[in-house]
Amino acid sequence: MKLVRWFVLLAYLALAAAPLAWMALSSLKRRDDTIAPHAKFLPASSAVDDSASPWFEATLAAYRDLGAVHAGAQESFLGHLGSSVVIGLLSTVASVALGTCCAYGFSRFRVPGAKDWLFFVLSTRFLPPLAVVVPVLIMYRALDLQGTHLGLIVLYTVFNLSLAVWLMKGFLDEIPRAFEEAALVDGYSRGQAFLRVVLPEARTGMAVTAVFCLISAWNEYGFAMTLNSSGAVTVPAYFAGLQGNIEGMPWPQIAAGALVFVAPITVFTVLVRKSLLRGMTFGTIKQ
Amino acid sequence: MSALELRGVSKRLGAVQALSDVSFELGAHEFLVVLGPTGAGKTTLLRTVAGLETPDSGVLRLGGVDVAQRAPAERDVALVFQNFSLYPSKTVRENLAFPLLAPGRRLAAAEVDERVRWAAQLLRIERLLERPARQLSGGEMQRVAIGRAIVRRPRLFLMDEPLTNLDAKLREELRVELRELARRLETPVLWVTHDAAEALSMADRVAVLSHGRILQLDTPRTVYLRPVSPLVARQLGSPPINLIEVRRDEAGWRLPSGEPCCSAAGDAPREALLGFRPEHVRLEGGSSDAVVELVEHLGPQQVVVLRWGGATVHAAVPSSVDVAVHQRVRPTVAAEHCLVWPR
Repeated sequence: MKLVRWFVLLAYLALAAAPLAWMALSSLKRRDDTIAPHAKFLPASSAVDDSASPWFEATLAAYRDLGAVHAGAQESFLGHLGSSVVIGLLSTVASVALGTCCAYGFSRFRVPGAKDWLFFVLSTRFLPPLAVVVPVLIMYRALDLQGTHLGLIVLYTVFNLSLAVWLMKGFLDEIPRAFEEAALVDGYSRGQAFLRVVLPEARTGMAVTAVFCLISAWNEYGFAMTLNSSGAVTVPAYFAGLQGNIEGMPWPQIAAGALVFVAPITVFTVLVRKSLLRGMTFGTIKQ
Repeated sequence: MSALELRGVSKRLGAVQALSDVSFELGAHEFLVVLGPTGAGKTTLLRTVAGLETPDSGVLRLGGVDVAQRAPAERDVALVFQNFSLYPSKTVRENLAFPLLAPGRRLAAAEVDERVRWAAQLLRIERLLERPARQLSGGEMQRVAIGRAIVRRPRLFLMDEPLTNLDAKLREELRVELRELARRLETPVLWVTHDAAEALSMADRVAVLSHGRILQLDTPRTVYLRPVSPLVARQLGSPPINLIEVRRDEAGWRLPSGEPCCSAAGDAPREALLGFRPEHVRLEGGSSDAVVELVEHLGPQQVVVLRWGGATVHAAVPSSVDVAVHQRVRPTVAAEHCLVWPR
């Protein structure tokens, strides 16, 4: 039984990791090796002459090249990474902050029609976001938000807010009311009790919510492509925009860039992995 | 001036009338215990005094000032919760200092340190100060929770069954200790419990609460010996009071099947509910027979369950009395120990 389990796990790992591994290999190649007719999957330390050999010469050139501006783009990968960081972080901070405050209200006060409101909040996720791309485009054109950081920050915040409210409500419901009530009796105001007692206890929940919001903002492609094809272009849109340029796709640089791009999310997720499951079930798993 | 005064305080929580027309006064150094079963409104009473609930009607005065609409922070009372004691992620020291660091209080750091040390010393928890709260045992936690209440030197302590979650031995220890502490701090206490022994042993006065109403408010002795109603009588005493439906004739009170049990005053009603405490039943000297059904030894005394005149009667007699199951006895109760409520 144990053997079977290991076999299944290893098989799944191989399947899941293969694309990443291929990307890692590609990031070490020269462009010619990435589009060679014979697959090259064994890195060598010196030049390889035989074009049919699976060996290729490993190099870090693609990583050194991340600061270079390629044909078909206005900025280097690093420039676009900067846009992704600004947009991803600010929209995550905004979603978590607004979501926490809103969830606190629903969790602690008698809000008339609270259930309906919460359902409404959730219902904003029923529609595939791209279904509203045209109205948003028209709106953003009128507001002059196309191609700006602010435009995508606002958009991602709105999309992630419903998730943030529901996740945070689950986490806040688990913090005993007595925590704040004790603080209230001890001489703190409602706001102070929220800041001094509730927020510290809700840190895990906020981190988990932040991961989900960040992943969704970080990887968002459709709106980034439609609204911000120039100006503040995020990394996913930047990669897609390289297609069809006259020099061809710079595959090693794309592979290297993609690896750098997934690294922060991986680290962040690993840090809060223990709490992620609680987040996915809206906090219903007791510790 | 009384420390706390409630006049006609009522509070409805959803479909439940949690408090109805509650009125009492708490003296400046008084230890008042509110006794009642689960759901009687005890916790709502404390929460209303603390300001966590707003009364629907009535007057609530603290030190003579009407505070019914004031925020909890403005009332300067301390509340020890039943099921919450401490912030798990803070150390004992941080937990004790937390009430003192409230923005409105503006205490110097040295003063905070001094008060934390004073409270820790008083409750003998100095060695725990740097420990995270989640590592404490139940008894230690409750001590720290009480410490959190006393560091502020509030004008009134509100205690919501603070000893309920502790084991029996610790409970008795802390009972004595806290009674002494309250006396030393000269601060009035409103203490809520469902444990009659706790109420009787600690209180200056006991208020018996049922369905949001105070049924009787008096000294433990009076509440125990002269309860105003069968409902009050039943809440105090272990084993519980005997309550028997009786009829009166020239010979006195007669049990359901006609046997006489004790003498009655001439002006007593003809039909009544007769109450008498198990410790007031004597097993000899009576004028009718009873059969011993069960004997339960409790150390200093034994509880004898009797079948007497069609009723089941509990008697508590010293362990030295020789009594066995199936034995016939002739029980009696002195008239002065009989409580009579007309039926």
